[in-house]
Amino acid sequence: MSLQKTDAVILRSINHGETSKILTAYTRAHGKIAIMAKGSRALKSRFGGALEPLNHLSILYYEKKSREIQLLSQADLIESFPKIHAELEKTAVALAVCELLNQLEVGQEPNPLLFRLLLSTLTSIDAAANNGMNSFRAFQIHMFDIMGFRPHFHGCIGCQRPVAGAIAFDLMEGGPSCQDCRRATASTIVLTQETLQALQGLQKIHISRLGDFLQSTTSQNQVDNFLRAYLQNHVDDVRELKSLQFLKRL
Amino acid sequence: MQYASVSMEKAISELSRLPGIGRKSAQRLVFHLLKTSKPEVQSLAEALIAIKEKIRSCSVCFNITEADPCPICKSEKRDRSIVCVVEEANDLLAIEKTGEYRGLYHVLGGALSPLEGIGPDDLHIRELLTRLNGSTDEVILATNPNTEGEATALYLERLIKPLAMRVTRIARGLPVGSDLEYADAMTLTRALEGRVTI
Ligand SMILES: [Zn+2]
Ligand SMILES: [Zn+2]
Repeated sequence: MSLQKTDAVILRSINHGETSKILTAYTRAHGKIAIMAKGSRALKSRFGGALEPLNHLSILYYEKKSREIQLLSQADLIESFPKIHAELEKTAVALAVCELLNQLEVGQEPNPLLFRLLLSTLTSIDAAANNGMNSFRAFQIHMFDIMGFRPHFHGCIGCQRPVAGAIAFDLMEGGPSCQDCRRATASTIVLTQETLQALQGLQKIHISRLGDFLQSTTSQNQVDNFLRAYLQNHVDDVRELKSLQFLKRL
Repeated sequence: MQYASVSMEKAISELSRLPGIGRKSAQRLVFHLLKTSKPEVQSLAEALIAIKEKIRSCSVCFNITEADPCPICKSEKRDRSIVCVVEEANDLLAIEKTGEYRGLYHVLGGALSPLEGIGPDDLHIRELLTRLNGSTDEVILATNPNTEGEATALYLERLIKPLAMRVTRIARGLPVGSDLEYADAMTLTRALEGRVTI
């Protein structure tokens, strides 16, 4: 058994027994771990209020490789993203980020880049003037990079010529394809120029500067449909995100 | 280890399905029951059946009760201008134990949870809104101080504020009898936010 120290973001927390919790945490050094926080729901727990989902912590835990659930020893709060917790829509969007990460293979392995992206996404949702959905969209676009299937939005992927009008985006090849280059068997999604530019913007603008980007509901929906279709094309078993359904029901 | 007696085995496996009871504790309980007189065991069995047969939830506040409406909703002595909203009937019991609260309750039957997909329609929120009327002055939100409980309080505040009544949230902060220096940052922040003039 060894003692591990790392940064972590709590993705999920489930009550266990009378006073304990089992946490799912995404850590900078060890990827996703399940960890038991004994007695953490007791009023005088030494963990206090630090172990809520979305909190960024520095944790110390006992690791035994043969064990599925590790044991938390110490947790210090680094950042609690107070505005995410104070606004219901932001809570739902931030939890959608956690939920997606929790679902995907890439969210299981250690990946400092992905950890950094997670932190900057939460920071950006916290700071957003709206519900922070743009940060979630940007998170997905950047996650595609990390997963190794970065989509391209400039010109045809076959001949590099600019594409005009409604664009057939080849989901597998990850870019627009012109009439001449289009493969007959390709699964494509049709994008307007406006959506293509919006996606380009999400990819280029730093996640902390998204601000009021992408305001019309139509382009928001189109971007969301694209992100969904693109992810489904590259990853098996993508499930509907409960947090987003929750957001729609508010 | 399997017991030669089928009834023994069955009793152990049923008991060990209860929360906090492992197979060892279940065995101990069964051995204890074996030594207990038949009328006592009978009375235990009847008490267990009665939970399912007699107890239901109050049609007004969703507290667990045998009579509908429940004694609290029916009582003439309770202050009908205040409604305290809690997640579960257990929470109601905890507040009742203080003997400090004289108003009415509303049990939501859980908390909003984006990750579990528990939305407003899954809780007794609509029933709460229909209950609130001209005679309600204050709604106290006593949901748990965790992510789900806070989300629920935020949602209710949004719905109830426009109805022109006072909406309050129970204080979150330091547990009585604890040491300030050992409190975590999150708890201390909450305690500072919830400070009161004395
Ligand atoms: Zn081409
Ligand atoms: Zn009642």
